[in-house]
Amino acid sequence: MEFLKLDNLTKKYQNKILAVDSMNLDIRNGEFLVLLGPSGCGKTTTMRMIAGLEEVTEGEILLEGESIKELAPKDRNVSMIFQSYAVWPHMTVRQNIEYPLKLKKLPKEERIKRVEETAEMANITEYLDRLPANLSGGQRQRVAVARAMAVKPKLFLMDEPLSNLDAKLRVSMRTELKNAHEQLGSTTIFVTHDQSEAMSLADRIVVMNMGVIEQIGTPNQIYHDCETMFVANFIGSPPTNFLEVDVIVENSKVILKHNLFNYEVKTLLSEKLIAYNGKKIVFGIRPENFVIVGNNSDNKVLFTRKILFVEPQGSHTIVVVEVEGKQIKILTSDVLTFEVGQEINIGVNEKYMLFDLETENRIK
Amino acid sequence: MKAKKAMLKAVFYIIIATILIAVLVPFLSFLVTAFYSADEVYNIPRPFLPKFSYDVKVEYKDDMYYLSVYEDGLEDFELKIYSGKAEKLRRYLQTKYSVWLTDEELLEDFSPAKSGETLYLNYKKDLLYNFKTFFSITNGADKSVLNSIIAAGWTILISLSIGSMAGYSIARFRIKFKKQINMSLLLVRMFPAVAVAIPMLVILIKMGFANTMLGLAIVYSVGNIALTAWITNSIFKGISVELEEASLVFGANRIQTFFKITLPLAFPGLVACSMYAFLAAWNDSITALILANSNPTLSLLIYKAIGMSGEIQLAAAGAVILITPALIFTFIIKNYINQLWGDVKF
Repeated sequence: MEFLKLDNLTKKYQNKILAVDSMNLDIRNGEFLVLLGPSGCGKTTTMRMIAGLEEVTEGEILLEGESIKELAPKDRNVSMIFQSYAVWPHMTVRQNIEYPLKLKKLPKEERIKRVEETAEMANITEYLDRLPANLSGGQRQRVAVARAMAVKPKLFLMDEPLSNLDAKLRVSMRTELKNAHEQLGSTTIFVTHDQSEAMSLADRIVVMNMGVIEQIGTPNQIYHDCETMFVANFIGSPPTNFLEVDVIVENSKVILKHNLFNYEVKTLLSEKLIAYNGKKIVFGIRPENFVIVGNNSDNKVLFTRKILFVEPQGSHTIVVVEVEGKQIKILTSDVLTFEVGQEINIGVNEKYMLFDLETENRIK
Repeated sequence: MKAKKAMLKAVFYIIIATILIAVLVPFLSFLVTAFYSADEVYNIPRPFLPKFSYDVKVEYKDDMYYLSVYEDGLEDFELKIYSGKAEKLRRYLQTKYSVWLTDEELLEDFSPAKSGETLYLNYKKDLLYNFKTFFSITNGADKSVLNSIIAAGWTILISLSIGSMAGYSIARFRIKFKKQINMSLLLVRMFPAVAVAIPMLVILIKMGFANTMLGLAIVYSVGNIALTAWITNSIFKGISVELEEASLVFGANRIQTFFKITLPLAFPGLVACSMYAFLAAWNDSITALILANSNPTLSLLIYKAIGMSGEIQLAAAGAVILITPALIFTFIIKNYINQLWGDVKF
């Protein structure tokens, strides 16, 4: 049985603005689940409904089979780490960690034991008697983590906990969070808009947009096997390139026709594409799935263009060309060869994705 | 550029100095006056600092003491009074020169003059004479101090408890017409107390609150609740909602959260805010004149004292008595003033 189940969960603000629209989600015990999406997509609202900080308009939240929708936040047995850390400034670190335990009416020896344990885990033992004002951002974050761990909740909720840290600290805290999760084995829901954070932390990622789930999957599925154009565009940096093409079926050959090129689909996909004969679809190619081929190459070449910009990234280079007013970004591991204005022959490997132009869903 | 900057700076300092002088000079002049004797008040030009003692010359002729006092302006003794009665001399010294003597002490001091020699005596002036007299001659001065404290206390209590609740709701909850409510709060402050005092008096009489300090405090609170709500609104806005939410998630209910998290964080700001309520109640005399004339507060009493008696030094003493608690109160909370504007620092 699933550990946490969101059933048709809906949130409307002032009976008008639909923040979360009939969301269904099953979360397994011990899973690290990341809610990923642009700001305003409803990911934080979803988390706040689970925490009880936001009223549910419609639907159910079931924790271990029991509805927690009507419970006060304090009775839901969840812990939360907030974006601003929400470490209480008038209490010392020790009091911060102890306050929830006191509210849960734990005996004193147990409280002291847990404070020391979690402080040890979060590496803040030496700061226990300091006030948060005397701690750095990273240390405050650890206090928030320790406080959340000390109550031994059924569910960890993390609302963009790393977004206030500087870039370097963010990466190292990421590793620490992952580590803590692996040691405790606790079920965690993590909200972020940062895809690299999501990719590196998650067991599964839920990509959300405008209050609905676009795709649920492992980081690899989300990246390589996008179900919608939104996911293909949102995940990946630079994002997937999209080209509108006509589908033409001739003598059982399926051709994608563009002003610049004709591409014959030879994979199993071709059968699906017969239904799209004469219609427009979207050809989606990730920057690394283009290939730049030599001059004398044969039919591998799709089109030839002049280089608009070259963006060196160290380990790889991004080459930008223009196709019908759109910038197409191509990722190549060849870091030295290319110069602005140079003509290159561009081909594509078979890891492309095709999308329905109207529904924006993947054709597969 | 540099010259312009220097000039702006100079203008700035001149303005500051003008304000300081405009505030300080009357205050200092009143402060000094409070320590004058009646003689000094009517001595023009007035001495810059009050005198501490008087040189007195006593001669005895025809069964009468001739009393002369040294005048700085004349640089000589001037005959002030002659009398054979100790009581008359004693009273003269007391009311005119703030010198306390009993009749017996006076006779004992003066009697050596009977042998014909001229006596030169030095009498200490009682610097607190005006303060003592203020309490002894004005009717119920000590009660009025108590009244003022009670009225200020009630005003703080009422306006802070109701006002801060209003401020909290405006800061935290989604309310329709929030902007309009916020603006209308300031509207209340625009009505001068005098304009509403008569209807207020009618209402208070009907409620049985006329001439009581609670009734007075209710009237003071009307304007102050609005101001308190306005100020506490920004104080509560300065406290992150996430701090409260964290408390809710980690096992506290709303009431626990308020008392353990919100209140301690808002406390300094609220203390600073109470200053406004205190000053409004403590300094007012107009509203008190209408609403509590037969049970006056200190400031009303002083207002009357200035109007009635010609003795300006007594009024000055009263003013100093009035100012002192306000100064002490403001001094105590001075560290919290910054937090009035939601500038909550830890």
